[in-house]
Amino acid sequence: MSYGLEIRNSSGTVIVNEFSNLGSLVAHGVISADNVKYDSAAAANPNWVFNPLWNAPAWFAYGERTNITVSVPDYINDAQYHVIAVGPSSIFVSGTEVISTSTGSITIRRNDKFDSYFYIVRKG
Amino acid sequence: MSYGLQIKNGSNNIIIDEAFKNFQIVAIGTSAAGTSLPITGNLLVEGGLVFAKPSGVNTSDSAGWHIGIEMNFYSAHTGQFDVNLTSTTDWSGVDRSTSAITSPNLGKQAPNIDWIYIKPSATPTSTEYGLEVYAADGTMSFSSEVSGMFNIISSAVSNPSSQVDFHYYTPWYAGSGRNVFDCYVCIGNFLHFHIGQSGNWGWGHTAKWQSSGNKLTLIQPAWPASASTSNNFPATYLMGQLSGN
Repeated sequence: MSYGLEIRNSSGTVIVNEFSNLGSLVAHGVISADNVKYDSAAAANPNWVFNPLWNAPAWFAYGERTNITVSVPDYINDAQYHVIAVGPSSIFVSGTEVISTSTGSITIRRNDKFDSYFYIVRKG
Repeated sequence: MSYGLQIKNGSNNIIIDEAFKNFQIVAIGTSAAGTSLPITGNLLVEGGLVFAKPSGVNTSDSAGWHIGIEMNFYSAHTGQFDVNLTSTTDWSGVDRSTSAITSPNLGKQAPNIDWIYIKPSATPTSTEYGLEVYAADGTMSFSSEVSGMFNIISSAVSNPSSQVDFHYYTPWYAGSGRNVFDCYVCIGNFLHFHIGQSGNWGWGHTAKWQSSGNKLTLIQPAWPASASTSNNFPATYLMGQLSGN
């Protein structure tokens, strides 16, 4: 190499050089399902989920899309930072998406029937 | 920065500092379609991510290759997951590794999958040489005493505006100097329908690798058609690559 930093491990393998894009985890977390809205009665009666029209209103079975803003460690809100989120969909209600990001917080829209998860990753 | 260490690459991006922990490779392997990833017990780490790509396929096959995934359980909070790499023959007896799926346009299903599990921490060693970087809280951000590193190279966001065969297709190009078949996709956020509502490949996200265009197609379910307006949320995909490729 003619410039930059090169790091090798004890086997002589290059671990880092100027072409590396090492990723880092900035933050991650879970957004819990709204267990007040979807209480233990649903868990005790799983048929409600699969026969919603007869046994429970649709919103109860399928969940609702709601926004939630969570605090995260300060990070630079630019192209080097990516927010990914995951949460299940139900039959008629979408899963999890990232609505907006700002330094110190992110807003996520999720199906409130299920737990959702998010990661903020810094790419190299 | 007022203190600590900061290392940038040739693109002027920070790759090592004391603020955020680098991902380190916890486990790496190749599994046949139809098996679950063998990541359990002590290997499960909070904040871990799993990436995958086709293994040992004919990269010049014009149909392209996808990896079938059935996500049975996933918890980013605990790091637990149970990803079943769906069988190449688990649908109507068709060997999908030799018969391309065209509707939706998934191409052939890879019989084997390369996977990598990474975690956001490093393990201190007893060696008295090399480089170690610690965060302000005393935990390790980086250690040179690892067998290899994993690069986070890009992300892509789907634009679910028009569906074809109940799926949205988002292209991502590896670009010059990089072979798309060396690129992994994070499958930790491929979950679509909750267990009990899934059951086959159709209800998880997937990706298709093609040498033509050096392209990755990220494929998002859009089912059912009657729910297209409420189920068309933009999904984010994350791409990575082993150092040295």
